[in-house]
Amino acid sequence: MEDVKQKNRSRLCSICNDKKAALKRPKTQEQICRECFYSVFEEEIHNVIVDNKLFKSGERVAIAASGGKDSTVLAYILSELNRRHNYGLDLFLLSVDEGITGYRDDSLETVKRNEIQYGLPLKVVSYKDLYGWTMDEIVKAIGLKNNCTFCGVFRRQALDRGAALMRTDKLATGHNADDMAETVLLNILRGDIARLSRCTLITTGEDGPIPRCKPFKYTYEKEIVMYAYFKKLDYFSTECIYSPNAYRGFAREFIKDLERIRPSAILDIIRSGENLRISTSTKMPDQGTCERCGYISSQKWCKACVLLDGLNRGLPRQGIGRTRGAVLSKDREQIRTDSEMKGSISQSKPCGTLDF
Amino acid sequence: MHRECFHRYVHTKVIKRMEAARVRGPKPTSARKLLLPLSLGVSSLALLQILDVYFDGQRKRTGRADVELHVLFVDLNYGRDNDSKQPLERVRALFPFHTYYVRELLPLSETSSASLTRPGVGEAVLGNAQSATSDTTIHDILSSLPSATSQADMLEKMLLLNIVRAAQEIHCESILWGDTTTRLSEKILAETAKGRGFALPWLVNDGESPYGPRFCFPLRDLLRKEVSAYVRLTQPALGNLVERSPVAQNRVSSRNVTIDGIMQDYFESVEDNYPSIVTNVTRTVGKLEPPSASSRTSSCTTCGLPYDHGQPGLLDWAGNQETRYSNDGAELTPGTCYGCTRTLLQRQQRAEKALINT
Repeated sequence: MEDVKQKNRSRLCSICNDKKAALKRPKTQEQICRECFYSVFEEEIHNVIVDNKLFKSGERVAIAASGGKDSTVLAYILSELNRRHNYGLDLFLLSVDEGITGYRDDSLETVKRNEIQYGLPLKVVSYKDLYGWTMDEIVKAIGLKNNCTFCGVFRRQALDRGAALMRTDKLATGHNADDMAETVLLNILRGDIARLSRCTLITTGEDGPIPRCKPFKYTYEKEIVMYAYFKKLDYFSTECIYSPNAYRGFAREFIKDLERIRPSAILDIIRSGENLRISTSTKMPDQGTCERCGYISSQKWCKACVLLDGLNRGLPRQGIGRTRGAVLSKDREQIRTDSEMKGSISQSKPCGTLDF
Repeated sequence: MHRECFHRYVHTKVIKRMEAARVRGPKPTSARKLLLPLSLGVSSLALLQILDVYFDGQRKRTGRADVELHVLFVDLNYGRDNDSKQPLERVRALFPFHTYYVRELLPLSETSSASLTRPGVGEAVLGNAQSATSDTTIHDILSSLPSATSQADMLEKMLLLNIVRAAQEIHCESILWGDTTTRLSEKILAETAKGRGFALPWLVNDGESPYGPRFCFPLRDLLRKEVSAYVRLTQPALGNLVERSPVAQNRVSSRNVTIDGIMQDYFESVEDNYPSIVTNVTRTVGKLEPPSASSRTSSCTTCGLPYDHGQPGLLDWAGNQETRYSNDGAELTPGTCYGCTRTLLQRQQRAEKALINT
C-alpha cells in the first residue's frame, strides 16, 4: 500500500506537486506537468533576456523567421513576453526567400500564417532581388556539393540587409543551446580560433550596424520541440531539399550522444566555450569592410561578393575552398584539412544556420 | 616508410618536444629529475623506450647523466592482485637505468587533510611495497557517483593528483606524460563537454601547471596509430609488455559508456581517415591561455585546479537556472570547480532523492 502511494506521489509534478507529471524535462530530468513546463520554459527565456539586457525599451527588433520550430517558437515567445512584461519592443518577422521551389515557398506560407497568428508584420527579402540569383539557379550552376556555402553566406548578408531596410535596432535569431554547443565543438575541430572566441556570445556584432542576439542560447532543442508540440504551434518541419541528410551530420549526432549520457553536457560545452581565452600572441584576422559592398569582411572582398562574382562570370567554383594560384605549404595543409573536414564533419544544420 | 626512417621520425618528433620543453636558465648543479607515469599502455611504454635510448646516448656522449628518469606506476589493483607488478618487473629488466616506483591509487585531494594521504612513494619502491588501507577508499568515492562518466572523471582526476603528489615527493621538475596527439584531442573534447574548458591549456599544453611540476607531452606530435606501429616494429619488442587499459575493458555495456569513451571512439575513426583533424584540435588549444592570475581565486578541493570563485557557480549560472536546488544561493558542493561540481552534484541529488524516499 505504501509502495502504491509512493508511486502515485512520484508521478506528480515535481514543481507544483499537484498535477500529474506529463513530461520529463530534458534539461533537468525533472518530471513535471505541462503547465509548469510552459511556466519554467517561458520564465527562463525571460530571465535570459533580462539578465543579459538583450533589448531596450522602444527598440525595433526583427525576428529571423524561417518557419521552422526554433524561429516559430521564438516569434511566439517574444510576442508573449513583450506583452506580458511590457518590454516595449516593436517586433516584426524577417524572412529570407532563397528561391528553393518545394521548400522555401512552402515554409514561407507558414511564416505568413504566423504573421496573422501572432500579429507581427512580416518582411521578406529574396536572393533574387538582392543577388540576382535564386538557389535553384545556383544549384543548377554549382551542383549539390557546395550549394550550402552559397546559401549560408548569402543568408547572413540577406538578413542584415533586410534588417537595415526595415531600420531595425536588433536582430533576434532562433539559435538554441544545441546549436551553440555544436558550434563550439566544430570550431575546435576546425581550428577556427577567431570564431571560437565569439561563438558563445549571446549578442554579436555590437560594433556593427545591426547587433544579433540569441534568446535561446540556454534553451534545449528538445524543449523547443516539446513546447511547439504542446502549444500546437504552426511550424514547418521539412528539411531543405538540397541538404536532405544535413541533420544527421556528425556534430549533431555527437551532441545527442553526449546529451544521452549526461543531459547537462550541452550547457557544460557552452560554459567551456565561454571560458576559453585566446592567447594574446595568437594572430587574429583584422575585421574591415568589403571594398565592393561595404559589408564586414576580413578580406578585400567579402565572401558573398567573391561567390557572386564567380557566379556572374561563369566561374561558380570561385571562392569554394582555396584552390587557385600558388599556395604556400602551410596553405596546402589547410586546404587538405578543409577538404577532409568536409568529408568528416558534414554540415549539421541546413542552410547555414550555424553562421554565428 | 622504411623501418629505419620511421624509427628516426618517431625519435626526432619526441626529442624535438623534449628540447622545446626544457627549462632555460643556468645549468643545474645536479641532475634534473623527470617523472614518467607509466600506465603500461602503448604510449607510455614507447615514451620510456625512446627516452631510454636518448638519455643513454647522452650519457655515452658526455660521460655523465644530466637527467634522472623516475618511472611511476600507479597500481589500480594495489594489494589485491599479486600479479599486477609482474609486467612492471619486466619493464624494469628491459630499461634498468631508471628508478621505479609503485604507488597505490589513493583518494587524494589537493587540499585534503593528511588523513587521506598515504605514505610517500619512497616507502613504496618496487619490491618493497607495503599494502596499506585507508578510511576512505577510491572504491567508496567512485561507488557514490551514479554515472559511469562521473566515475571515469573522478578516477582520472585521482590518478592525476596521485602522479602530481609523487612528482612533488621525488622533487621532479617535470612530468612527462605519454599522451599522443590523439589522446590529447580526446581529452580536449571530453573536458570541454564536462565544463572544464577553462583548464584546457593547463591540462594539455606544455609548460607551467597549476600543480607545481611542469607538464610536458613529448608524444604530442605523434598519432596513436604511429606510436602503436612504433611499438610493433621497434627492437627490443615492447608489444608483449602492453597491458590493456581497464577503462577500455569496461566499455562493454551501454551503461558504461562515458563522455571519454565517446571521444575515444570518435578519434579512433578520425585518425585513420582524417589525421589532420586530430592535430587541428591540439593546435587550436595551443593558441589558448589559462585564466589570468586575478581570476584564480580558489583551488578546487577535488581536482586541485585553480578557478574563479567569484564567477557564478553551477547553480547561479544563467545556463542552468536550477535555483530551486540551491539553499539561499549556497553552493551544494562548496569549493569545487564547475566541472567537479557537475560530477559531484549528481551524487548530491541522488542522496537527496534517497532521503526523500525514506
